[in-house]
Amino acid sequence: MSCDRTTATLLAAGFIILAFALLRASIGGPGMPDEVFWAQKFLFAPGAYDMVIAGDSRVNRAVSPRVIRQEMPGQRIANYGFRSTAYDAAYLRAVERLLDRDSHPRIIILGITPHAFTPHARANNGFNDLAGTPRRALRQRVFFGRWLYSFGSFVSVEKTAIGSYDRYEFTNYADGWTAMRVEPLIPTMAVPDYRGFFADSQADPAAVDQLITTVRRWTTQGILVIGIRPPVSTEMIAVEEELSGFHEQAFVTAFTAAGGKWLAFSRHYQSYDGSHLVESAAIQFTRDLTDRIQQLRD
Amino acid sequence: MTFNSLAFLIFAAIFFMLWPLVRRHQQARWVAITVASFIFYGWWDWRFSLLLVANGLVDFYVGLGLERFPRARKMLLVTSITANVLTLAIFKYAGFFLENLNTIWMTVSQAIGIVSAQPIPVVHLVLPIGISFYTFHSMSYIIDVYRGAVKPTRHLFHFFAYLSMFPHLVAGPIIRGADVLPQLEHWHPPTPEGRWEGLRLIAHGFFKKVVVADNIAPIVNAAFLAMHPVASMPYWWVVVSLFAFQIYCDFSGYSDIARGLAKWMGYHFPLNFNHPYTSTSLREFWTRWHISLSTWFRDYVYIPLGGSKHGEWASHRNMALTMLISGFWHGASWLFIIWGALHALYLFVERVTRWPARLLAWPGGRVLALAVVLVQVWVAWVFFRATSLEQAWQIVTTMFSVHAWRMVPIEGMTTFAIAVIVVMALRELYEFFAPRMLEQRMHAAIASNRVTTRFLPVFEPIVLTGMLVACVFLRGPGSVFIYFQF
Repeated sequence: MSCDRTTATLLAAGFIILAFALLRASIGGPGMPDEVFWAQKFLFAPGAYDMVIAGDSRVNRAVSPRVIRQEMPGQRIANYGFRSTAYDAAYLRAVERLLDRDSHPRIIILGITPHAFTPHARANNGFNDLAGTPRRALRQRVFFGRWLYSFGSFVSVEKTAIGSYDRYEFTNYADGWTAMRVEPLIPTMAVPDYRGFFADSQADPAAVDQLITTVRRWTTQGILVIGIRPPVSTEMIAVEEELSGFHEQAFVTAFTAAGGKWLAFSRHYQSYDGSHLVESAAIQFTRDLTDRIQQLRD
Repeated sequence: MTFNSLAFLIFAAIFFMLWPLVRRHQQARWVAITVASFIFYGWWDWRFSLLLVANGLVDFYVGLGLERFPRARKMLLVTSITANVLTLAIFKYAGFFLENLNTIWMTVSQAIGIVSAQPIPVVHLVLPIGISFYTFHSMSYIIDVYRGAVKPTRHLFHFFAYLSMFPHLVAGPIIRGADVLPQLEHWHPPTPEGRWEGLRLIAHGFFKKVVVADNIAPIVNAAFLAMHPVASMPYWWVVVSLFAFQIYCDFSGYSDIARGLAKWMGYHFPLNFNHPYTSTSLREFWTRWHISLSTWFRDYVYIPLGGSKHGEWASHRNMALTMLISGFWHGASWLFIIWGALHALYLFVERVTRWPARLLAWPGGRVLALAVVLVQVWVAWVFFRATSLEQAWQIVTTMFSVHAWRMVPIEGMTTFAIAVIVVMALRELYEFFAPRMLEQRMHAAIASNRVTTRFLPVFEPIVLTGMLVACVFLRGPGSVFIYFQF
């Protein structure tokens, strides 16, 4: 009786878990679960892309490879933006490794944000978190994909959903883009956070120099390196100009001197927190960016 | 691999499917345990296994030597202990020692005017997982052989099955050769009750780890990772209380799982946690918290130092030294040493003033004694968890500052997290106030047929099934067990 009790309890628990997961998988929404998304992005195949878009979460949410491909069919494009990413040597090496040496032209688009040059970004960023995770664990996450997700915790879903927004949904695409659908738009939401970051951690000139040096090396190798400032709210721009210690004009001068092409955008794009674009704005921004890239290629 | 990983689930399923095929044959059993344990351990990094093999080989042969060369016993004992302590010193403490040496060297250099003084290069080696635990397993074996408390095994795989046995390998409980080697020699099939007890332990262990500790972890992490500690007294009492439950559930959860897995294999590991937050004295706390480590330090450090044999003050000194070493065992940081020192201070004050006995004589004294113990333990936890000495000091001063009496919302505090914490706190309060009384009443009621026992065999399986389902769907953001870093 007792022996049966152990087996029966294990079987009952296993059955309920499986049934619940199957039910969940069948009613689950589109897109890729977060854990799988970031792991597969980190493991993007080296040498498999003609164009790599690098940067932090602003890039992750602002540039859609699938939209670029609509205008530039056949291009293999990766959005390689990670949360709070710093432009340090490891990240830049990883970006470079993704490019196919035989493709022509090879393009790297760098989303430049002041925060990416700060010690805060160096100490706390999504790329390094993943780099510190065993590759085997990341491959497991990707391999089991959606199936594992249906066994995911409801507690983390609850955490994703809470916040100041009535609606907070997102879709992770396999090409590295995250489309955000958030309401209402609060363009000042992230501003206090950035004030806090910059109060203790300002853009490091050495980090800027390191990026410029890398850009120079890339351009001499024939890579088309494009610099953009991912669109943010006017409140955010004001904070970054006032507190970040990053001087865009000086950076653009150095960047272009190193052979990079700088693209500025004057249109207003809607951001839900002042720092990240909503899906519709990201699509518009990507279209504008694609037009400018094609002009450069021509 | 960690217990709370998919890899471990697959590993355990395969192991327990194959276990009945090998468990009846002594040597096959030892080989199976050793091979499985090295797969389990090597999953992190196979190179860690080499150190475990090297340490194990030294102690296996030293054990044999202790029996074969009676004249060289002391020398062999010293060799083994030196090898184990050196392993710890190199892999765990080298960076700490060099950094402190650098601080002293640079200060002295500046003081005496050596302008060109360069700091000594500091090498930070990767800390092999569980090194503090398996070196202690190994040392206890050698000391017990030296003392004649255990006979050295002549079979290499018998020794390695004890040393590397995967349930206890990386985070304890710290088991003794005297307890486990005989069990490994004479295997008895797990009884149905043993299997059920194993499942109970495993379900409770996983629940404590993944549902309680992992849901508390993000709240505690956010509080301690903030650039500036929040200046609010109630905030820090809540956060430190959360951490107290996090570390308790994290570590005792691991121990429960380890004991449950051992039960399924047919072995018995001793109890490691016994509701420590119900203690009414610090002395009692240390008989309830990480019992296997406390008794290890008692038997292999405190008593060899002289224990309480040479008078009161020698006893205080030996206790203080033991607590300091215990603190340092937890990690190469001044914060852990201070944590140990604080507990030494508490125990010293308790021994000298005998305040728990005095307090318990008062009406309501038991509750007051519990409160005093918890306040002391909570303050010490701040040093255990803080990221710097400065932060720890700021938090402790805030906790006792009447000027910081303002309510501040705690980041990440969800209704679910609150519910989890309340349940845990009620569970401990139940242990504190009423377990024996209720148990006795229940038995009396059953004996007098006042309640039916018909539903009892069904009730517990339902609860355990619910706990296992909750471990999957209500688990917190996955993180490794806190004690892995030690």
